[in-house]
Amino acid sequence: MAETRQKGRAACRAGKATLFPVGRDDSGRPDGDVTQLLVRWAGGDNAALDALMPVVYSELRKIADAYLRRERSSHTLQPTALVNEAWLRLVRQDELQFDHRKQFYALAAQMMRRILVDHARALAADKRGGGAARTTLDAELSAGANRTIELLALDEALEQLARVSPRQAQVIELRYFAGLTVEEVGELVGVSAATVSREQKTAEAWLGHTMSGSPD
Amino acid sequence: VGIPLTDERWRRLEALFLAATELAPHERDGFAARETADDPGLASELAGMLAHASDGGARIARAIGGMASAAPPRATGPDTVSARTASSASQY
Repeated sequence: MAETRQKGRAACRAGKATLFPVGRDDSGRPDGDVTQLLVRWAGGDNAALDALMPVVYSELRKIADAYLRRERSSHTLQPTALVNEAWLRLVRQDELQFDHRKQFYALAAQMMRRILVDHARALAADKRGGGAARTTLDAELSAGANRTIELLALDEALEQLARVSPRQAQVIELRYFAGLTVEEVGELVGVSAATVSREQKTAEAWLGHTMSGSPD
Repeated sequence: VGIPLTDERWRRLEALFLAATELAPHERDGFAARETADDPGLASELAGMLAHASDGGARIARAIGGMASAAPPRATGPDTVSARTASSASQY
């Protein structure tokens, strides 16, 4: 899993540059091959994972961009909903088992996090540069700007946590960015649901505390 | 923030935090003070964690769920959605 995470990050960073040629199957899904790639990956074929990552990243990015651009007065983006949407759009569910779904969600969680963080960084850079005048200070301090800062603080705190307890950082990622249940996370990382709950509780408290302590 | 976390420090912090949350609220401060008397850095981390024992999850959900409204300047009703995300994330 650690290797997968490393690869996932690399793929996320490479992002657009490594776009996998996306075909369309009869159902009109962006890429019917995702289903087969998931099956091959589950069977231990790491080349399948390499092919899978850019496709999933690109689809998630597309869905997220559409949400982020759309002016929605009463909705905020829920990463878990976007991951679900990608799952429905990319995969022929009837051909897959529960294990494949968990693997897909684990991969998508890492990517979702990277997409949101990149977006937040771009927003933050936009506000610093581009001749934004002091008169826009009020707007910068709006709830939106604060939440951008919060997300970056969360990302940084998660990195710190991953250095001492990679599994706990992953538990948070799977729960919050992919919406997996405690039981599913337990099966995926190989511990009991009770352990997941306990580790999540500690990680949440530490992250909440650490996010509060970061000035920026 | 504070002293860099190490594996060993994290394990101790986690054990103390979990033990403290098992206690009645009025017993926690005394327990934390006793157990971390030799280590002010640890004491401060533990106090911070206990202070966020019940709202850490909501804060994470808010940070993540707020991104869409960060794109357009006008943000409405994020707390409702965050609260919903938080409650669904803590159902275990």
